[in-house]
Amino acid sequence: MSTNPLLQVEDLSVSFHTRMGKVAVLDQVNLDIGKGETLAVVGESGSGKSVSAFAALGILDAAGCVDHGRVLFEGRNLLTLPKAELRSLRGKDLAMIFQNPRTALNPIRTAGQQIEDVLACHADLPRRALKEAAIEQLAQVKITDPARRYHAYPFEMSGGMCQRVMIAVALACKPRLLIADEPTTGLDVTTQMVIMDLIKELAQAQGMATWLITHDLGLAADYADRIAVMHAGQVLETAPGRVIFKAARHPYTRRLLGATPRKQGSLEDLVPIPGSLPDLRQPQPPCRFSQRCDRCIDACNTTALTLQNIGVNHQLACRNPL
Amino acid sequence: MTALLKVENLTKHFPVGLHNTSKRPTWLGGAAPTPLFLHAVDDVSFELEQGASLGIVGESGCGKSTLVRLITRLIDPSSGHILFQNRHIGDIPARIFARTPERALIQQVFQDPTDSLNPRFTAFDSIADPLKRLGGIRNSVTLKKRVEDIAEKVSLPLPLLSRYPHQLSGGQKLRVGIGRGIALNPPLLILDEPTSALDVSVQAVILRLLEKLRKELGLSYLFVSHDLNVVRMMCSNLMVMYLGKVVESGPVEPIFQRPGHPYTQALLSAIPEFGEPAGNVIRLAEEPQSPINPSPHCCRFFSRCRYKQDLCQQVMPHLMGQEHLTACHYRLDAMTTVHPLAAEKHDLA
Ligand SMILES: Nc1ncnc2c1ncn2[C@@H]1O[C@H](COP(=O)(O)OP(=O)(O)OP(=O)(O)O)[C@@H](O)[C@H]1O
Ligand SMILES: Nc1ncnc2c1ncn2[C@@H]1O[C@H](COP(=O)(O)OP(=O)(O)OP(=O)(O)O)[C@@H](O)[C@H]1O
Ligand SMILES: [Mg+2]
Ligand SMILES: [Mg+2]
Repeated sequence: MSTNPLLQVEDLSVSFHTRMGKVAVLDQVNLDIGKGETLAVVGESGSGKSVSAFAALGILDAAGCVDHGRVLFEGRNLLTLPKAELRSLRGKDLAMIFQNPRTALNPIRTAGQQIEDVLACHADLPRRALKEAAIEQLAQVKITDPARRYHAYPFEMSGGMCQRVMIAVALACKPRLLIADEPTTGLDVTTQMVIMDLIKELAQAQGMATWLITHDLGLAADYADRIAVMHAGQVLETAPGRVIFKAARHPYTRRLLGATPRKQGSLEDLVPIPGSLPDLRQPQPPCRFSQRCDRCIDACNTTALTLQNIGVNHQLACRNPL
Repeated sequence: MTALLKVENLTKHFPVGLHNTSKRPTWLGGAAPTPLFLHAVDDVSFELEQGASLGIVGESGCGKSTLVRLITRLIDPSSGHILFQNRHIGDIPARIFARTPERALIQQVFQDPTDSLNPRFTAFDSIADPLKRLGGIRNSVTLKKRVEDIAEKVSLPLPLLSRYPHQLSGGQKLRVGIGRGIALNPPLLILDEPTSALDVSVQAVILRLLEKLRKELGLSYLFVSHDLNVVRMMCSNLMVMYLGKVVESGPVEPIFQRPGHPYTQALLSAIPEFGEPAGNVIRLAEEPQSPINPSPHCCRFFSRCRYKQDLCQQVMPHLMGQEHLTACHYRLDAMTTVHPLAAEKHDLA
């Protein structure tokens, strides 16, 4: 629990209405991010990392619905804020870098135009200054030849370059909280380091907090102050990176570590997590990992699951921890 | 042993406009504008033997996917040769290649399984498609048998064959994609970041599957990935690219243990350490050079290299060495070197 929270997600439950019925995607998610803090949310694909962020920003798609919970940004509940007020917060104080930049960028506008679009929304600049500012932003995310790339369309850029343009768009207005959904997926490790250093540098300079969504535990450990582990819409453990690696208490956290390729590891060392994410259309036991867990006891299926403090900055939701 | 795939001096330059050198228009006697080319793949040569797996790594935008698209003949090279089973396939125009028999022998598994599968095809249709189109199988009983065999090979449960892509998970879609790829028993399978859209648990399963298939079917892989730990596990050989050029190549382990090129050294040092205190991380300062009309004499890594000397911008270094090749005048792993910083470099390497 950070002492000075900028954003607090409290007991957030979200479901989607699909043709096959209601899917309870998030189950009482609790997260908090302090001013200037970096929180990494990790977990398997489909564990609800992106949906948590979408719900917090009020950009869930039409089928999604918040059943329960609050999202407090400096004490104001984003979920009940008037639409117009929320919209002006987004893009100014709250910015998001989306997963899959190729589809998140507008395919028929150039890199430069897309940055100008954001700048124009929030500052009153003449055309020329706008263009200069856009080129400046491109240079800031280390794009070579920014004046020329200003005119490039997404299809003319490599995946990595699209990602940097996305970041330039998101950071254009100097947000207070940046939600970065897989910001470096598809990038090589040196570029990843440049981008993460850049985000960190801007975060420190502007006191910007970062909500980092990633499935790369190594990256989370290197850049986040704390890591939250999610599974099937539940937060199972949160702790500082080194605690997660050395002293994780949740069996799922350990499993996740075991499936991650390590330096000098061989294929035999990789242990896939047994089973797969549960089908959330079906009613779930209190702990949604229990069906896949070798430490499952009766209490896991009978008593409600809550995230509890078990140490400094260490929270756990498990009935039979390691 | 003869190579399955041999690439010689392969080059792809994309035209990206004109550069006006003089202010006066040509019709008033000004110099003609120079055309600008982006050197996406520049003079790349390598060989891949039957049953081997070659990893390709490098910075985003260094030309890995372009190289793949050249080899799968989706685009035409600007110059150079591609020999597949000793047959020149680089000279066949991309449009005609789609109808040659070689088309069936080089298959690719695409990065994003969602984008690459036809949403109106069931898993069965997706796998059956290459069999019908390129394999000439018409008989529906034979087809069904073949598709089910393939599903079994890629561990896709048979009931899932009737599902559409949106009803499948990422890992299941990737299995369908791999099934499509191996449907025609191609000797060469190209994987461009096959698992980057997957989480680690599914990735572990898929990597094991790929290894099993390689052994059982004698497949050769060209494996593009940003995850160096994965490349080290999966590949016997490695090729490191930087701005369109190969800067280092050879067997995987020697490169990981004693990288010869300063870029490789930086790349390997940047692998997230996973809870351990990071070692000597080398942060690449400066911007990468522009890939547009680069100097033919200056090493592409020059602007960011910590060991650069005058020679590096006068003479382009070429790949040198035996087996473990490095394109650096002052390779870091050299036993004897004239470089003044040699001692320091050995400490760092
Ligand atoms: N529009 C939607 N309709 C129905 N279900 C949805 C919708 N969007 C997301 N879901 C479901 O919500 C769950 C969580 O999805 P989410 O995208 O948050 O996962 P994630 O943790 O971000 O995964 P990834 O690592 O793959 O990005 C998934 O089971 C997904 O199928
Ligand atoms: N059709 C095109 N026209 C102009 N330039 C192109 C075109 N396709 C690719 N490029 C350029 O060629 C270079 C190499 O791109 P490529 O997609 O091969 O990189 P990559 O190594 O696969 O990168 P990533 O790791 O980000 O996928 C990039 O600078 C890119 O902008
Ligand atoms: Mg997501
Ligand atoms: Mg690519």
